[in-house]
Formats: sequence, structure tokens, C-alpha cells
Amino acid sequence: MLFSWELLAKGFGSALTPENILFAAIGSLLGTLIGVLPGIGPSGGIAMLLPLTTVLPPTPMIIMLAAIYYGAQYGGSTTAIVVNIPGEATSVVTAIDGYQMAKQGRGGPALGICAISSFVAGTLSVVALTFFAPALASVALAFGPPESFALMLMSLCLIVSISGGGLLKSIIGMIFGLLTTMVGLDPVSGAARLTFGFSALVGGINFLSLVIGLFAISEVLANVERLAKYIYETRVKDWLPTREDLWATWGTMLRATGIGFFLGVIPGALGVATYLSYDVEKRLSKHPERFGHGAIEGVAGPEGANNAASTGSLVPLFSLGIPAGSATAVLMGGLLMYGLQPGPRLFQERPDVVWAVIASMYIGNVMLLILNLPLIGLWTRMALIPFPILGPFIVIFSVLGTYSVSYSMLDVWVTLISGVAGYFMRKLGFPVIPIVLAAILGPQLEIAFNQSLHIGYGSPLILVTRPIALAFMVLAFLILAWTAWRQMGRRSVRVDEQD
Amino acid sequence: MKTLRAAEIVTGIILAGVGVALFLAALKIPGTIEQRLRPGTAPLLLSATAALVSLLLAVRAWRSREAKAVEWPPRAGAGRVVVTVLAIAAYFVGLETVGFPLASALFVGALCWYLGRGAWWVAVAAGLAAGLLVQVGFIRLLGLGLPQGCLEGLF
Repeated sequence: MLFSWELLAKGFGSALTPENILFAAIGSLLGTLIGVLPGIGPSGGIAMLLPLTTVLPPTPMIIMLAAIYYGAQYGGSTTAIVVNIPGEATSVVTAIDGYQMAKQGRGGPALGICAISSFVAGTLSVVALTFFAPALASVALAFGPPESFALMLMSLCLIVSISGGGLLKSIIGMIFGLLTTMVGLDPVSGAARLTFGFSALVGGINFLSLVIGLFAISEVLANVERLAKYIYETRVKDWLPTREDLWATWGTMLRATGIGFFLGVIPGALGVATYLSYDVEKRLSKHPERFGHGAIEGVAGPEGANNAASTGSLVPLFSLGIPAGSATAVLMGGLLMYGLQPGPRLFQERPDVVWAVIASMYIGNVMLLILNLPLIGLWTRMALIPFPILGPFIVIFSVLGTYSVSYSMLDVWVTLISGVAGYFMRKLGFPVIPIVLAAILGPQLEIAFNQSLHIGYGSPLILVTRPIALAFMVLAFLILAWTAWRQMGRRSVRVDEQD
Repeated sequence: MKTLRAAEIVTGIILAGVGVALFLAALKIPGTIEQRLRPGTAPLLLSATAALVSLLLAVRAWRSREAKAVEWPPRAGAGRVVVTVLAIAAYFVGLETVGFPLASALFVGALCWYLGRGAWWVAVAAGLAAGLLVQVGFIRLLGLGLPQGCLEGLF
């Protein structure tokens, strides 16, 4: 990928035509509306709207698809904050503190900081894409299955260490989360596992059903228990982030950009970016106890990391022709439809298309901010709907979201079962995040481990003989050991106090 | 199970039992000689670990002297939760028989009335809105292939 100011200027010239600006705006709006629907994430949104774009020439088509991609990312976060329904995997972490902020009457600042953090991280990461893509492409190549496995394992250990409820409960949650991913067919041999003879389980358990159940349905049950009049305990206080909110989160946005963009470049690591960003912010905070109870950094970090990772995932796509995730795979499909093969040759053969797309990303980030800030009032007005009306609607949206993934009633029943389980987990102090992250990463973890064994001729030692993988494995072990040591120390202080 | 201690002992034992059941199921998973990692290896390891760690949770709770109470709901609240879960289950049963639009309308109307105990017309309106939203918004506009049940072919 050869950078050139002249090509970038031509790209802006192409992207800033009234026609292309209009398509960017339509794509952002449609993407946001689609992303708001649970179960239909960026990849589903792009796939659904791809037929609309086929009537367009290549440049406006790709501009519109990229705008849909960004818009859908933001839309998934909206429902996570407003009604605690994460639209897809990357908005799960946003729901933790975002929904708490909404309950405290600060849904507007939460949504606003989402938009602002996404804009800042998205813009900075597009700059990084423009200038550093060639160097970063080689990073993508340095990460093979052993490195991916070790990185995902380290992420799981990090989340277990910061989750409330204690190490044992977090580990139990993580293991059962991993076990849910083992239900169904083995990814390598196709052997049926843990299906107990039920054919419905052969297709496996959809992690989104788990997530929606654990978050949305359990929250509905908790509100039913206390006969809530409204889902938010406090009336809406602020509609936009305050100056203090922006001051408190500027560092978060920069860190999130770095974390997200770097991880987005690595194929398969996109799902980890939001969790790592949340972990970093919690560890760096002077008041980590605020996290989980409405800390604005807990919203700004994951949102920024998510957007930066989305941009970062375009580095391997454009430079090497390797899609880093499902959404970029669908984007690649869009390019292929026009005979545009992503990879190094695309820059030489069709620089007009590529640089117009990169330029449109700058514009797309501005577009999202302009379009979504005014919509904040609309979303936060949900607080005015009485819970007896809103609660049942949350259930039907949850069901629509889980059913539409693979049109299976099993997914719907899993949502209810995990919802009831989530309700009891709240009562007994079991954290939800380890289960969720394990359910998201489980399939990739197992595939990466299988591939690592193949590369290592059957020996798992490959995980400790490759330097990057070894570094992550050591970090994973240290994190768990340090957490156990710290908790044992706290426990002995409590026992002494009781004596 | 009024205290967290008692609840953790019971939960630990139940989860350990689930772990053992999964372990026994994993033993039956077939594998082939050519595979580096047999399909049953990961489920075996994980279920065994789950059983052990769950037992550890129960033992730790048993040895603990903490008397923190669990915030169980009062009888009325628990009753509402049970009714809501049953209503959701009934909704699911109706989804593929009477169809998404009608099942959603009935579910929203009934639960809205039960939770709100307000004017019946509010519940009816909410139910109608839900049915229309599903039929028009999701089935017609978005083109989702949701079962329409008895409304199939009418619109």
C-alpha cells in the first residue's frame, strides 16, 4: 500500500461529492437503525443492505457499505445502554456501565460519549490506517494460531481477574461459558458433542441467546420482582456529556484508540478489544470500584476501542486481502461483486476506489456524530415509557433478535433459560462477563488450539516456543496467580477481623 | 438458603453435579486416530475442572463463617417473577403455532395488564401495537421470515 498525499486528496475529492456524502449519510442512518435491532450486528446489517447497494457504481457502493458498518456498530451500543440489550458481542461491555448510567438518569451522556469516543477513535484510527497500514500489515502476518490462542487465553484471565464476585465464581462462569461452545458439532471432525441425543442441539448454542438472556431477560425479571414503574430509577438529568465527562475521558479515548486499532489489525482479535480496553481503564482508574456502577470511562473505552478495531480490521483486508472478522468478510464480498480483489494489487489497479473509501471514513465518522447526537433525545425518552409497557416489548425484541439469527426455537428457549440463570446469578453474586467472553471466544479458542497443534506436529509446546505466544501465556499465568494471591490476602484479613 | 454461605454450598454441589454429568457425556464422544486433539478432550478437561472448582466453592463456603444474607424477593415479588417466566414460556410455545404477530400481541397485552393493573385499554393498545410492529416492521419491511401462523397469507 503506497501512501500519497495526491491520491488522498483525490480520494477526498471523490468522497466529498454531494452524491457520495448523501450515500454516506444514508448508510450511517440505515446502519444505526439496523444495529439497534438485537441480533443483527454489523455483518448482518451489511448483508441485509448489500442488495440495496448493487444498483450503485463501485465507489458510492463501498462508501455506503463502510458507513453501514460504522452505523451498525454504534446502533448496537444504543440498545445496550438504553435497555440493557447488547446488540452484538462488541456492545456487551458497553452495557455494563452504560445501562447503569442510564438508570441514574445519565443515558444521554452515555450515548453522547459513545458517539464522541467512536468519532475520536474512528478518526484517529483512520489516520493510522492511512499512514501506517503497510507496517501494521506485517504485524497481522506475525500473528498465527499460537499467538491468537495465547492472546485470547490472556484476555479470559484478565476478565476473570477483574470481575466481581471472586476468583472461584469467575472461573466457574468462564468454564461453563466455554462448555456451552462445545455443544454441537466438533469444528474439526464434525463429531456430535454434549448433545444428549437431542438433534436440536447439533447446531450448537448461539452465544447471542446467552448474552441477551443474561442481560436483558434477567433485567426484566429483576424489574418485575420489584414492580418497577420505570426501568430507570432516576429521571433523566442530563441529555449530553458535560465538560467534566469529556475531561474525564479524553485519555480513555486515546488509549482505546491504540488498543482497539492494534487488536483490530490482528485477525480474530477484534472481539477482545472492548474487554481489554475496559480492563485497562479499570486498572488505571483511581476509583476502580466505580466500574460496574456507571463509570463513564467504562463506556468511552470499549466504544472507542470497538470503532478503532473496526478500522484496524481493514488493514489486513486492504493490504493483504485477509478479512479480520465477519463484517469485513461481507465487505470483501461487496468488493468482489464488482471484480475488486482486496489486496496489494487493488492499490495499484484501482487507487481511485481505495483512497475514496479511506477518505470517506473520515467523513463517515463526522456523519455518525452529526446524525446520532440529535437522536440521543429520542432514545433516552424511552425512560418515560412505564415499565409494564416497556418490559414486555424488551422481551419481544430480545426474542426477535435471537430467533432471527438462525430461525431456531432452541435459541429462543436458551434466551429464557439463561435469563432465569442470570437472575439467580445476580442474587448469588456470580459475575456475568466471564461467561459471556468465554462464550464469544470459545469456538475461536478451540480452533486456534487445534491449528497450533497441527503447526507444532501435535506438540502443545509450540505455545511456549514462539516468543509472542510465550509472552501472552506468561502474562495469563501471572494475572491469575496475582489475583489468587490478592484474594487470599483479603480473605485472611476478613477472618482475622471476625476473630 | 437465607445466607450466602448456604446458597454457595448448594450452588457448588449442584454445579459440581452438572460438571460430573457433562464429564460422563464427554466420555462418550467418539474420536478418530488421525486427529491431534480428540473432540472429547476439551469437554472432558473443562467439565472435570468445572466439577472440581464448584466443589471447591462449596467447601470454601462451608468453612466460611460469613453470615451475609441473600436478597431473595418477598413472596409477592417471587410470585410475579414466576408468573412472568411462565408467560414468556407460553409466548414461546405460541410463536410457531399462532405466529409471531399474534403471539406477541397476546403476550404484550397480557403481561402489560398483569404488571400494570391499569386500564384494560392500555394493555389492549400495547398488545395491538406489538402485533403490528412485528407484522409490518419486521416481517413486511425488514423481510424477516418469521412464522405468521394463522395470519399467513392474510397480508
